[in-house]
Amino acid sequence: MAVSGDLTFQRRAGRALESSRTFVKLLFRNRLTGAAFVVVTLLVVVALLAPVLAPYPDDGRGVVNPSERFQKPSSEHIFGTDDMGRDILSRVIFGTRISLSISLVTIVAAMLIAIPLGVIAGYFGGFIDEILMRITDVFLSFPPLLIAIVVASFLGPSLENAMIAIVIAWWPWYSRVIRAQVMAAKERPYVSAARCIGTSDWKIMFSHILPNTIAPVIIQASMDLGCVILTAASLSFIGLGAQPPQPEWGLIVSSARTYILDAWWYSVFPGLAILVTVLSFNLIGDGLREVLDPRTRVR
Amino acid sequence: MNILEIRNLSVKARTILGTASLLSIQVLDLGAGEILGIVGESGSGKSILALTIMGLLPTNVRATSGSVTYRGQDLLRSSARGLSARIRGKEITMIFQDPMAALNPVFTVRQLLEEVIKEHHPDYDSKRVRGAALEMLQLVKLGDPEVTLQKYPHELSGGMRQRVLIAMALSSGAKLLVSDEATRALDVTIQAGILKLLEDLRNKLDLSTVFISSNIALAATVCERIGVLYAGELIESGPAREVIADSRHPYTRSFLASLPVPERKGQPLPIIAGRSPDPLNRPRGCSFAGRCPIVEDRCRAEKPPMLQVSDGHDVLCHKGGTHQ
Amino acid sequence: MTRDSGTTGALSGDTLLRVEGLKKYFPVRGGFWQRSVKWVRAVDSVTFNINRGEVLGLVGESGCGKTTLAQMIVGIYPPTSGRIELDGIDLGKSLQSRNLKTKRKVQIVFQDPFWSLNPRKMVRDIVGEPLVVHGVALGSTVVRKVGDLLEMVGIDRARLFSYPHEFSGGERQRVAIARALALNPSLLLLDEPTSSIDTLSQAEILNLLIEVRNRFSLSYVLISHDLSVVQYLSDRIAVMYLGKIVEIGDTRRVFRARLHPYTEALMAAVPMIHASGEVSDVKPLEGHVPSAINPPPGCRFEARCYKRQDVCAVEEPPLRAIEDPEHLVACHFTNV
Repeated sequence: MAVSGDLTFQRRAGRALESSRTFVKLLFRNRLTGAAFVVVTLLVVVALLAPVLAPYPDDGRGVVNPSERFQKPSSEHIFGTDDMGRDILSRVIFGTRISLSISLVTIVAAMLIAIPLGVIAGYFGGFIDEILMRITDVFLSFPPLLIAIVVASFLGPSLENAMIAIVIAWWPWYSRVIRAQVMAAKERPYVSAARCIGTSDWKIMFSHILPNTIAPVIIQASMDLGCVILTAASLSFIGLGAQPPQPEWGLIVSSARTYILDAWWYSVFPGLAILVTVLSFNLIGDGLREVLDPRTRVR
Repeated sequence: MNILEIRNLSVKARTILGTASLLSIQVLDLGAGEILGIVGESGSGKSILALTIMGLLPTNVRATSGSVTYRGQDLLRSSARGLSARIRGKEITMIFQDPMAALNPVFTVRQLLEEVIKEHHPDYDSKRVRGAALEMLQLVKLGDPEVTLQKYPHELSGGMRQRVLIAMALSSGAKLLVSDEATRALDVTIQAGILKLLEDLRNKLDLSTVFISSNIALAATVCERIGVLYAGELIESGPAREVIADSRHPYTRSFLASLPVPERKGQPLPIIAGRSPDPLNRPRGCSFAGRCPIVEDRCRAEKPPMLQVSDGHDVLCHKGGTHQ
Repeated sequence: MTRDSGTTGALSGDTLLRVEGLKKYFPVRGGFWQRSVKWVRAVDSVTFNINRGEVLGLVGESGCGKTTLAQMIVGIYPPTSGRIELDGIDLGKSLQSRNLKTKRKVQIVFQDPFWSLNPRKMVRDIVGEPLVVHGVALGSTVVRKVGDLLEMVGIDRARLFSYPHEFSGGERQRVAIARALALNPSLLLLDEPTSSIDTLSQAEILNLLIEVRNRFSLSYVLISHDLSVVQYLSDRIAVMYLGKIVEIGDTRRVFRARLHPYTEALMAAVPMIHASGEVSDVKPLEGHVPSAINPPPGCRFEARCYKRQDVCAVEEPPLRAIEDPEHLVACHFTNV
């Protein structure tokens, strides 16, 4: 509708988002997003300070303690102990390190692969675009978890291989998103102006177009952080990811499976850790979308 | 008799940055069978006026006081929801800069028109509906109406789409048409055709039009009366020829003087420095005081009154009516 | 074709730009194999000259090819055929084939002041980019030069570190002009430079453009659908219809004589308020622009023309001089 002129103040309200303080204020206006941010910040602190915070740091690192097997949650072992007598709270705390680094490393790696390819495909179009997009099509035609399982079983079970598998399953999604954005952005007059000036294609792509097209990828990535933790946990659960005695949450849940009726605490607490973390990342992603999207829609 | 009367209207918006005053009109009348021009720059409140009349304001924007009276009924206080629904979109309709936004692309012109006609005349049989649709297209002077009826909106040119929209408006029994920059995207030759059509419909059907445009020359050619908006305020209104040849508000005068007309070729155009005030932070006195060439102390201190220059020609200025 | 008319436009003076027989045909793909089957003749054999320091206005309805013509001159689109010469040097087909030195001579200002500046860059970097790319300035001299450029277009140099969204439409357009001027071009293409901004800002931009032109004896190609802007700024005016120039000559003369019926119709449709306060009436032009895919064999304006006769449908009128050697019209019936 042609109300743009009179509603410039609303556009300005949008522009105010440029200043980071308003950005954070808006993000926190949604209480859930704010809460999720607090949770994620706590998780990061927990991960960094794991040896200090964990009541039994050695248990977290995997030292077995056969005399204290299957202890119920108590003041001594708040989350109880596992089949090897290790303190589950300490294991979960150390697991935070693994989960957070898996998600961060894989997502960043996937973006590093996807963004240049997506930008190049979108900017040059034609033959290059055809080839790159057919490659992504192949990946996109399978569920990412399935691809990850196939790749992980091919590479052999280990945490590092699981991460590689996740990266391989994930990057085509980002390539697609960024390519579509670039194709729209390259038609804008500021790109034509840069070409007329004589700016090189590379500089146009990465200095003019990329900063204007990356927002949707960031939103997607922040939502995927949780998803990746889930995938890594799934891979570990079926034995293709982290290997014992690593305190990976999915792996803990997997080993707890046998004792689920006798020692409920063994599976519930690491499960809750996965739930809370994934939920928080998703909420942050939603919050980011809410705040970033209207601005990208503003002319 | 006036078909539309606006009194002491004030429209405000609530944003995260505070309350913005978007529109303030003390008096504005539109007679039946009259074309009223509303001119102003972007951000002057032109579109807000259109949306207020249509009841289409965004959720955070509200008419906080005053009245918009259509044939004796206050549209703002139409607590009877039925009233508003009966009038708006039927007796009062709007055409936009982008006609595609209002034309459903999956229907042909025939389907679009016949639907409106059937709703307005439930007693018509299908043959009569068909005849009425054809008649409407002839009324808006669409060449080859039989062929046009079969077309989809995307197959029509911009000017033809506007004509179809006007035909739809007329089919629903429109008495008042709000045109918000409806010819802006059109070529001048096509634009002139739409202007002629509006004049023609006024003469034939007594259709009243609020013609909103940022182009004062355009408004002047088609409108009997013109209202000038600046920073959300109606600062001058009166007969078109009079507002242009004998404008009294310093803004209107500066605006007219800055038009690149043939007589000024080769001379620099006079300009007014500054920007129009922030809607979030309107000045205490006259909103034009910061840029006005004949500003006085009282202009900054108090709001100017609406002064009558001559019958039907009002100006919102402390020094209204006086030339410097 | 207009071969017999020789050089179209300015015969005397210092020729800066020479456009000869320029054509741009866009393929319309169709059929099962997406082979091109038809061609849209967006620009069809256009020939004209521009002198140094001269402003040529290009007018016509949307789809007449004026924007395509401008984009070919800048090099955004390669022409299908024809020649573009600047200072006697062939500009080559497209931007890729032009070297930096040629690129800097032709710059463009776009219509939309909201998307013509990168929203994520500071004004310093936007206006400074051409200086850096061409190695004209480095480091702190960039800031100083950008400041000078901003001041020249009437923007406070204190706003060097502002982002585009902090400027109004008119100010953004001035930033765009500053960027175009950074490389000292000899030809500036102005693609609807004032149609997205308010009347008051428009007056400022027009004043600025005249001032800059006089100062650097720049040449402009001004594209606008607003005839009042074109007549105000242009020395000469070219009226285009369906990919062809139908009338070209001195602005005042063309406005007065309106020899081509299309020029006449175009000008009659423009609402104008004269300095006296008199308002001119408007006259619509009936009919629509025919498709550029299969333009009529004779005069392209034939279907809408009130002067048309049998010959118009068969024979295309050449662009020829009427009365004055620099005033060319493509019409069989130019009875003044």
